[in-house]
Amino acid sequence: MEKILEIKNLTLNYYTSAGKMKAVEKVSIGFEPAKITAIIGESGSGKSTLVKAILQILPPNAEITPESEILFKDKNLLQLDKEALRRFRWREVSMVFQNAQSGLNPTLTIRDQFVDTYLAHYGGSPKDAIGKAEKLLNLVKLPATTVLSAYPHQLSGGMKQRVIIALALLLDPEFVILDEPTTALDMLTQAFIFDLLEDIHKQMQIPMILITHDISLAAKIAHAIGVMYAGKIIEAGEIEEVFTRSIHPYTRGLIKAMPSLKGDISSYSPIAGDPPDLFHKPSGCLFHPRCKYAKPLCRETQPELIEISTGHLVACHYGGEVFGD
Amino acid sequence: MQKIFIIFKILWKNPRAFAGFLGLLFFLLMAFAGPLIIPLDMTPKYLERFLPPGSKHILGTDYAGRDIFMQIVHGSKDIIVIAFSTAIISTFIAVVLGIMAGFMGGWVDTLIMRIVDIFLTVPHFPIMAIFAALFKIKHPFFLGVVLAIWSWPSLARAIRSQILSLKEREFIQISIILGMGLPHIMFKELLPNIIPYISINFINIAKNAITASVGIMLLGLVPLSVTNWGMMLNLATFQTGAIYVPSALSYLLSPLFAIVLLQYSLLCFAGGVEEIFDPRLRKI
Repeated sequence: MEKILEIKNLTLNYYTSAGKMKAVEKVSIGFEPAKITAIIGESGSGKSTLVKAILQILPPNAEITPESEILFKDKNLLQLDKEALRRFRWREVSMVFQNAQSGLNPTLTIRDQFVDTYLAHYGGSPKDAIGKAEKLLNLVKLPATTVLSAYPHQLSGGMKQRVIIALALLLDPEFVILDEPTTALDMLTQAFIFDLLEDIHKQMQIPMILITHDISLAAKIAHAIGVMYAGKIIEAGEIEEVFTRSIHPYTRGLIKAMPSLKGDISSYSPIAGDPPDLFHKPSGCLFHPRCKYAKPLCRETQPELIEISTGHLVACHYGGEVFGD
Repeated sequence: MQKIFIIFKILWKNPRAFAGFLGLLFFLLMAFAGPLIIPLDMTPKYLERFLPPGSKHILGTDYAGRDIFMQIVHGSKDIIVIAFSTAIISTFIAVVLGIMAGFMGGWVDTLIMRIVDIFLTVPHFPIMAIFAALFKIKHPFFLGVVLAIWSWPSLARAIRSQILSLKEREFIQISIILGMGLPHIMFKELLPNIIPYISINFINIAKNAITASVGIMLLGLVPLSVTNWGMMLNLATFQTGAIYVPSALSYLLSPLFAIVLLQYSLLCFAGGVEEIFDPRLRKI
């Protein structure tokens, strides 16, 4: 399948006072058009850094190594100049940020924020911008006229989140990145937002990346999934495939750690241990200190990401074997 | 139009600010419409010296038998022009330099902050007094300019530190990513967030300018006109010895009282200004 966005060999280091930290290490992943791809992983697994690299909104102490490539419709984003990058952001790829609640300027009405964003990229009259904004606010099921003249503090958390999603769609982007779009919201609102995202995707067929650590929400709306661990993709593929035939012990652990409504509580087992220190990564397979199937080989060499069946990639030395548990 | 209506509604709900607003309105009317109603008549009438307040002279008369209220009315324009020209000029300088220093950082920040340091360490009042005397100021606006030169630095520094924290907030980061352009971010995104703070400081600077200008005139360094409140105080204390003449008490107290009233109006009004500019504080 043809990819709309492709990350190739991306390595990204943060320079800190404690030394060099490899936040993302040799990640290659492709995103197909008209599909929602979920990227899941624990805090600090590099999932946010990965998508920030796409928009190039990294902090100044971040460094992308020269052999990395990020291709969007066959142009390398890492080689864009400032002006091209400015046009690329939001118009071609837009993003809903983590903590989007604070992404709205508290002293401007929602109308002003829509109009400013629209005019900064397209020019034209404020009328066009407001027309577009009304359409999008209706799409996210908000009463457009009331919301447009409101200030952010007059909206609830869920409403703000929906405004932010509408704002991300304002410039008709070809790709949307959602970085934990439901943090700080209650469960009901989370479910509502995810239904909404599914709806929007059905209507607009817009490809999305969904960053989350909630594997059940990912399963609900995504078509493909990538599992990150300590800065590496360790398993990726179609969602059905990964969920029913997960191979990497970490993925299996994540799925098992998901409490089920109907199932027996005793089968619920969290993954033991802590994620690795990114300054001092373990040798060999990054997961081996927590893996109950680890063998001497795992301690020595790092497994490559290999295709195990069509479209299903796994980085595990014993990926082909089925662990009996 | 709708915005003006909202402002009135906010003021109406805040009695203190509303009283301040009325006081301010009263002084503005006095300054700009008063002289048209009450003509200035400074011819000495020695028969009517030091009359106590009464029906013919609301605040009594001065050492030459001239109505004090008339002088207060004619003096108010100078005070208001000085207060507001100082406040407008110094706030403008402080906002532009403060936002630039905070947002742009680097050598721009260093340069602006060093200039601020110099202005802050120089003793203001003596320098202002010397400046005022040196330039032989004839128009109240220029006294405002002289005062403004020394009034902006602390506000500029305070704005800089507010911008430093604001620019790390997500909505500013997002506008940077969106490529909104420097002027847009500085004046459309950042400025509204500090407007409440700026407006309160604007009023503070105006208040301080009144005090400073009256002080300078009390010392007789800028003899603008005899009706000026500071000059009236100067004449009352040094020329007529009003402190020792009980019947001249009104001549001494009237300008003082006018100054206090104007300052207090400004202070009360400042409490409502924050609500006008910060939508989060509004009760409506």
